[in-house]
Amino acid sequence: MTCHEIKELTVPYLELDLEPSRIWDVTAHLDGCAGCRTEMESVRQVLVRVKGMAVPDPGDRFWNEFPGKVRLALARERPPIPAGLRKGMAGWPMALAASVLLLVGAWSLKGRRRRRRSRARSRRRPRRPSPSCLNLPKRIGMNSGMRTPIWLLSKWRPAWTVRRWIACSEISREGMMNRHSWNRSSMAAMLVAVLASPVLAQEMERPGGPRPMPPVMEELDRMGGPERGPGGGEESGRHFEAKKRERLMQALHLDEATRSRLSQRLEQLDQKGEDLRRQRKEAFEALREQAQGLRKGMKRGSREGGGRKSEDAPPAAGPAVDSGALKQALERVYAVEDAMSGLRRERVHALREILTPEQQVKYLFFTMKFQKAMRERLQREQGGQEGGPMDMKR
Amino acid sequence: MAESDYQLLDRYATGNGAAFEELVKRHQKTIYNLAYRMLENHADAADLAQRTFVQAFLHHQNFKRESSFRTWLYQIGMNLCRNAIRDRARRVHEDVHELELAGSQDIFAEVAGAELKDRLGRAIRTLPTRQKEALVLRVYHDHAFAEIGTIMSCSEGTAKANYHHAVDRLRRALVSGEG
Repeated sequence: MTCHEIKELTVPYLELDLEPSRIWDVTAHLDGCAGCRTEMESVRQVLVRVKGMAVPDPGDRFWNEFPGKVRLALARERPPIPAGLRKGMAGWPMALAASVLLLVGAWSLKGRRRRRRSRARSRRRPRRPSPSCLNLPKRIGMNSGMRTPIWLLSKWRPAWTVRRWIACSEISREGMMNRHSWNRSSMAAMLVAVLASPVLAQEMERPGGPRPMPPVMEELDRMGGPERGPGGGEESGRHFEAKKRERLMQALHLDEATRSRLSQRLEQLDQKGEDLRRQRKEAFEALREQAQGLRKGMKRGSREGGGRKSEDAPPAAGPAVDSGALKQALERVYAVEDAMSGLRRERVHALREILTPEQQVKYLFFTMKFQKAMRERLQREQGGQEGGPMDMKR
Repeated sequence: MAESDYQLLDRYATGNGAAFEELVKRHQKTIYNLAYRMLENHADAADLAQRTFVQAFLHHQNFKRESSFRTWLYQIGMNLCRNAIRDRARRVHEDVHELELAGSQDIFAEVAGAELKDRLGRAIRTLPTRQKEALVLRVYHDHAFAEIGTIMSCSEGTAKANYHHAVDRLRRALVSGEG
């Protein structure tokens, strides 16, 4: 057996995933080859070390509460939609309703056209049928339906009778149409409402506002206490800062004098930071105004140039923006950014002055850890729970 | 005699709340551990474990019982982990070694002690996702390669190859770090 073959069999050998005869061969080779023994030992070390990395136990409270959290999350989820209906689910009732509406619309229009025709005919005729037509014998009269019976048009009937009957039937038909067209519209409306109601109900059920908070975040919030109000980003930022400061002070185990000195200095720097943030906001707003002017100018320039770009054409008219003001706005932004960098340096200097090296290390690690936690929390809150498409065929 | 997962699942399908609780309690630690190994922090692991169970109970009709319920949970959990890792890779993620500051008295000793562990942790973190999956399922969950293949939706041979590559990579990472 060669060293190369042994290399291939190292992991199966250590995992006892080989046939007994092969295990015997590998052992025999290892007895006589120091290089392979070293390699085998290094792989064994890796497996031992990897195996030794434990998962921290989140505690009994977590395990006890876990099924309840799952139940809560499950209740929050919408009931599963059958896979066959999932595709285009929202569209089909609306499509059906639209088709029904079209049909009903066409039907009503047809009726109106007939009514208009009958009105026009009656206007053309000098002698309108008298209301006495209503006293016609029953078999010819009102319940004669929509069509003129063919037997009525036979020659042996006097012409006036036929004419009168037709006029009467048109009148009665008009009445019926009016009555029926109302019924049709209301029926169509009801049909649309019934068909659209599941979709509307689904939409109503779906929370319109922010996405539901992940359960873990809810838990964190509950642990975080009631002080986190519904304020905006600035408010929550201040809250996080205060919380971070409080936990930092606890972790550093400072004596009273150092603690008050540090808090005083950090508060001063925080105040300065807040001023600078406000200035930065103003500076960026000014810059945004200038940028908008610049964009408008460029658009105008391209329009005046006719949108064509020929080789020998003069360049489009320059942006109608005050370049002095733009430069000024830029300088203001740079100045504020410089000041913010200076503030960061000042903060580091303050730490170096006040804290011992060990405390500085703790401070730095703590800040990094806290920032990471906050960043992750923010991302989770913004991103929500993104399950993504899942393959669950089994 | 304890009921099997299938029996509990049947009882859950008829609306039995106790069966639901029993199933979750039976598998919660396994799924949390899997999620923690893959995502490496408690908040994400807890969130993912919860989502795994929610997905499983929401879609329990789709479970064809060709594998064990546990394997099916592993599959769902692993899919969610894959999605989470992919989403995380999109974001700028600054990796900071986590230190428990509250209880530590000697921060330097802690940092030094964590160094070796961290090197291995870093090496595991940089493994390709498939290799990491195979490693986690084999080393920490003691699955046979056939089952790993089922969970990872690949053949037994591919699962084995992924695992071997992962171990080899880790060995090389540790040797180069020590050298």
